[in-house]
Amino acid sequence: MKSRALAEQAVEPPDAVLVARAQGGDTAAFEALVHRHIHAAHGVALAVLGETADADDAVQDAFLSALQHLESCWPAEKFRAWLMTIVRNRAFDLKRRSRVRSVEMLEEGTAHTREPSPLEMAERSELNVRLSAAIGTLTDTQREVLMMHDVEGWKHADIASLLGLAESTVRVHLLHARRRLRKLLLAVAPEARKGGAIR
Amino acid sequence: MTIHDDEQSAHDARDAMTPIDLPAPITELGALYPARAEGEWQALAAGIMRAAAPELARRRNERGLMRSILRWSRPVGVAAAAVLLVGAIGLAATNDADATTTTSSFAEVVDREPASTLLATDRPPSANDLAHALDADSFEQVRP
Repeated sequence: MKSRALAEQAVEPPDAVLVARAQGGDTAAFEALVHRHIHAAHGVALAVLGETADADDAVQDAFLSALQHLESCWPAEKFRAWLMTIVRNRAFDLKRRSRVRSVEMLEEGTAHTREPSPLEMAERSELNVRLSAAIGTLTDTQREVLMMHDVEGWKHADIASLLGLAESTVRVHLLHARRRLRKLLLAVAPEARKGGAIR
Repeated sequence: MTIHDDEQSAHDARDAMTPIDLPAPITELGALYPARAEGEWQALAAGIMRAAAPELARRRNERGLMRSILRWSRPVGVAAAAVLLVGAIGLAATNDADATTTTSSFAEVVDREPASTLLATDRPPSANDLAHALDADSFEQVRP
């Protein structure tokens, strides 16, 4: 695994080189940066927004913004951390805007009231709905930590670095997020306790 | 338990610096956020590249312009330096020439005929001698 990563590093130019080339408008270099970091960026956006489609928008916005302000990425070796910060900020912007938009639509009486189709209903199972609702009750930080760790597979240290927290604080947030989520799920579906659906 | 309680207990646990026994992950989260197909990632990346194309093109043009300026800057600079050098040399030479032609000493003026011959003789000048000396070219040169 380690040797494979080293081999990939040997073939792929480091971020700093790609950033320098992308500054000159090199499409291939920017595309390499996109492919290298798109998964992590999406994970960060998803942790904030909770919806894949919204996370896609945030990631696209963030990559464009990063390209437009590429000169301010200094040192260029820190491109990944710099990009993730942009993604996170974009995601929070999007979240704020969507909150404002939904309030405006409710006030205007133009809120989206379409009933989900049977297919959509089938796709979105009851458990998923409950999970989404339970995740919605977590604090922003708890949700981010939970999603990045349990869904995206980030390490505590990486999450701590991105969020500007101590590693021990990240662990504590994860502890409380999991506890809270499990408690809410069991409260909504006591039968699941017996069936063992929620471990 | 409220969110505030959660935050408080988070602080407590942090302060205590005790190792945390994390509960098991919620496995259903994986079902809520299933792994995306490679095609979806490709589509997202392609969308980003399409949106980024104008900015990349602008950067290429800007870089091209800068390269052109840098390519021409060296010969233009050398030519400008040469022109300045030639100009400076020409100016210096002109000044030297003016200096040599315009300055005349009193002795040169006085020693010239007919004033010099007048002074060499012991006799006092007559009215004709003075008129002759005043009519000479040397008189023009000592005038301020």
